[in-house]
Amino acid sequence: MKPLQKFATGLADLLFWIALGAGALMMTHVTVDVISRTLFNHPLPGTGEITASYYMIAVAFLPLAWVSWRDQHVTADLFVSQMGPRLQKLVALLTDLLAIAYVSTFVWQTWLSALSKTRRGEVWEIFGGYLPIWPTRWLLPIGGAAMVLVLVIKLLLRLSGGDTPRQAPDAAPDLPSSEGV
Amino acid sequence: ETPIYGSWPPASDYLNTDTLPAAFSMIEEETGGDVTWDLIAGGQLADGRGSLAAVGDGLMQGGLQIPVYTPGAMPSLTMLYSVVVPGNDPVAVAGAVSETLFLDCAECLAEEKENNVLPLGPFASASYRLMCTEPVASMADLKGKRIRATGGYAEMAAMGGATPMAVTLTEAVSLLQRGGLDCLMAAREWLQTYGYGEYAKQVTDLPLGVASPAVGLLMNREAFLDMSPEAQQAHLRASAYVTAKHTIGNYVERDQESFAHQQAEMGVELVAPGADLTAMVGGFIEEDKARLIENGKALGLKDPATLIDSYLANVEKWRGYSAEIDGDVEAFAAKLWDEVYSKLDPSSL
Amino acid sequence: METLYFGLATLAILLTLIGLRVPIGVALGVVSLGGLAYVRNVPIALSILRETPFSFAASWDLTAIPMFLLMGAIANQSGISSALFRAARLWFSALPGGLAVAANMASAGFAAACGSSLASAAAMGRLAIPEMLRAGYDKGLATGVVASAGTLSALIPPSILLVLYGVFAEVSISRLLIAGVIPGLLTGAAYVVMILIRCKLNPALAPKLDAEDLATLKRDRMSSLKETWPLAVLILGIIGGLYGGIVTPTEAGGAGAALALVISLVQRRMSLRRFIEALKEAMAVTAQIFFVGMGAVMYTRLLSLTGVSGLLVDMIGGWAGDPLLIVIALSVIYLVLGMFLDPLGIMLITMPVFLPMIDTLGLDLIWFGIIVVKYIEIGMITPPMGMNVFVVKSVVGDQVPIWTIFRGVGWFLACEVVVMVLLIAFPSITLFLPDLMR
Ligand code: NA
Ligand code: NA
Repeated sequence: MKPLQKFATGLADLLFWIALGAGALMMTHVTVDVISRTLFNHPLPGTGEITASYYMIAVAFLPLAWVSWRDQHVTADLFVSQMGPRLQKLVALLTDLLAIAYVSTFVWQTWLSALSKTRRGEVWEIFGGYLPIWPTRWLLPIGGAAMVLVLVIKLLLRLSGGDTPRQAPDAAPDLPSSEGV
Repeated sequence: ETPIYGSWPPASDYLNTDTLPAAFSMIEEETGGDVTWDLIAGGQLADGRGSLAAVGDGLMQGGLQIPVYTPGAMPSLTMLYSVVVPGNDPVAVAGAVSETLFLDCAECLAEEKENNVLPLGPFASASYRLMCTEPVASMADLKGKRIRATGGYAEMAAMGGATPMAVTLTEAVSLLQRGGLDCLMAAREWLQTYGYGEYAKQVTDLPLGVASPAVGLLMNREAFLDMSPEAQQAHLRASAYVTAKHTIGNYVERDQESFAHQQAEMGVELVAPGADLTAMVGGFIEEDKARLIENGKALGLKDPATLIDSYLANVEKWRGYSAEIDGDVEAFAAKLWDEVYSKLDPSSL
Repeated sequence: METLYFGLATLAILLTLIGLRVPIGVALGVVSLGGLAYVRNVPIALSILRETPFSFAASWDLTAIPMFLLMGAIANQSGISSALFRAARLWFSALPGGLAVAANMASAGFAAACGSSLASAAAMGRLAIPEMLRAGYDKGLATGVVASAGTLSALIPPSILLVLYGVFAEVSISRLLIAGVIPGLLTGAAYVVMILIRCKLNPALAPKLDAEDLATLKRDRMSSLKETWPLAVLILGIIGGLYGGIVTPTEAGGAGAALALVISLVQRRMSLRRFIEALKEAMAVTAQIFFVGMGAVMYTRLLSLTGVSGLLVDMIGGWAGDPLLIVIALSVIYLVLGMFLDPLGIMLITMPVFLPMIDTLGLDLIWFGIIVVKYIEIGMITPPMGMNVFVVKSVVGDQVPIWTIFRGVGWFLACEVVVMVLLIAFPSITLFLPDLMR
């Protein structure tokens, strides 16, 4: 269990760091394009397409496992806090299973999509040629699979009693990742 | 049967207000009410890039497709639609596209089959024009201008020494207003649709050429093949109608009307083109062929040159037909039927 | 009628799942898949999960989400928010409820650097709430003001929600952003007036500072203003870039984040570690938003495909020909949705349904955008699901129970009634600035 856990957190961290790099690149690329266009009359070809298809995809899907590990997905609590501890546990179990099932389906389907786009060599038209898009299609199943792994490990940890209960009865979810805020 | 057409342009677009409703009521009438299409506009089911997959997957049975949005999925069609045909005759181009697509391009149909779709109702848009915040008449004027242009037009802008910019249609307005953009290469109708007429008041009186048309009634192939032979015939007839109605109604008549309105109300002015600019635009297609062929090869086409040549030959043939048709929707649809659709075997599509 | 029942049934299942603490993105996705499998078939349901997530996220317009978040996070990391609060505290502390007024003013200022009300509430919460609690302020007031004033961030540009609205409504995003300024300031002013009146009438809510403290406050006032120059430069830079035709509203996100980074480097307030913290915050929230967003887009598709959207438009449209009645009906709908759903979900689900209707009625889409964003932000502070309140709760921990925060927010909701009546009755309040732009 421990090595698996280590692998999952390592993977979540790695993917998250790639997303951070994509975020920094997005800022830089857009700014350099603006400067180059304004001062030198020379826009960088494909800035919009590269930003949308590479940086945005990385930023949207690669942090999923990291966010899941910290229980930071957007949730709301209407009834659960009023339930007894046993019922709460049961509901939490079902909730986790539902999330695992959904994200697994997401991985399966986006995997199929990535396969077919790779086979066809998906590209977008940009000035002066074509931008390959198919590689970024793979970021979806990768980010999703890491999330499934994290969810499964968290579930196993809870079942084996190795984890503290997720939330105190009155606590609200720690919504925007508040690290460093 | 109530197949669903998911249309990504806004509900107020001519396609959603005129072309498709008329085509769908034709189908309903011809099939005695067996097939009644349901039109859901405004991109609620799929966006421009996603429409091909959404139709192929059967999420919706019909949609509007711009082939150049997904070049890898339909290389041949993308190739055809990337050619900037000289002049100002969308009817000839729409006719030539229909004929090439269904009769002269086996790869086109094979690609469609692979995507599980049928390219019904292909249309051509109006010739693009150069529309600027200050008059552009000569090559010297054009040099260094920042121009919103896509595809072949961006190449044309670059050839003229201008800087092609890729900004979205909505972003272009504020950039024009504040000097971030000098010109657009666009259909004249956009002056009204996107509000460019307020700033880009100087329209160079020179058609840049006709390109980037779309497939107006992209259909799920299985949905089509599952239909009765009568219903299939009705859809082929509707296909000819969509091509005719949208090309003439939106890109000939509306283009002219809205431009006249812009001239009268917004003070939009025509700029007479100089000889050097006219020559550059006229020679563009020959200059551009090499790039088109190279792009086609990059997309995996075996013989893009032949495809382009047979397309351009069809354009010349349809220029003649276009003179006969003379802006009449019914006549155009009838001609399309005689020259293209009557020669098709629906079950082989 | 069957269509309507189907729509209501999916909504009921959705709310039940959300209530059981299923992540909202999962709840939306599961209901969409199940609904599609029910009305169509399983392969079609799966196809929507194959294509929607990528096409939704691969959007140039939506780059404003991570970039506005990053700009706010950098501004916060480099101390813009704490400088603002320090200055506001020195200037306003002598007033009744002075610290609460200061928190409100600082939030309004920070709103000009930050695109999201959650980020703003989190940043101000950490600075202002401990100070107010230390000074013996009423807990409801101390937490309520931060949760509520956070919403100003979504109105005063930059604003992620306004950008999203602009994308969906296809209206000029720069006009929209400018239109948010006066409604944002009006809301802030209404809050200030309410705080002043309440604390004047009931001084126990906010104990006054002693004379000695007040004297030191006066002394440092001018010097504290100097600390706020980075915000002024950031605002001027962005406005100058937009008005000079140098950047588009979408690019303003990336260029604004870069400008905030440059300013913080000039101030010598930025280190690699802090920059990484800012990136972490912005990218984690981005992923959270998109995980919900892709579910919301799929749910929208389900509602359109099954005709629920069209039915709603017909119902509301047929029920009331009077634009005012329709606006009131929409207000009720937004308030109810705002109780349960998250901002992005509300925006995505309602836009395709209501926009055509508003357009047909001839109402101004810019004005309507501000109304929608106001309602969505009100939803952020109403129970049971008030995201801003949750954020504040996560800041204060066990010190303050969540219902105390909701109670404290109640007074601010009363101000919102006044503000909304004014905005709906007098569209020129909203449209004055964007009309100047023409
Ligand atoms: Na803001
Ligand atoms: Na709420």
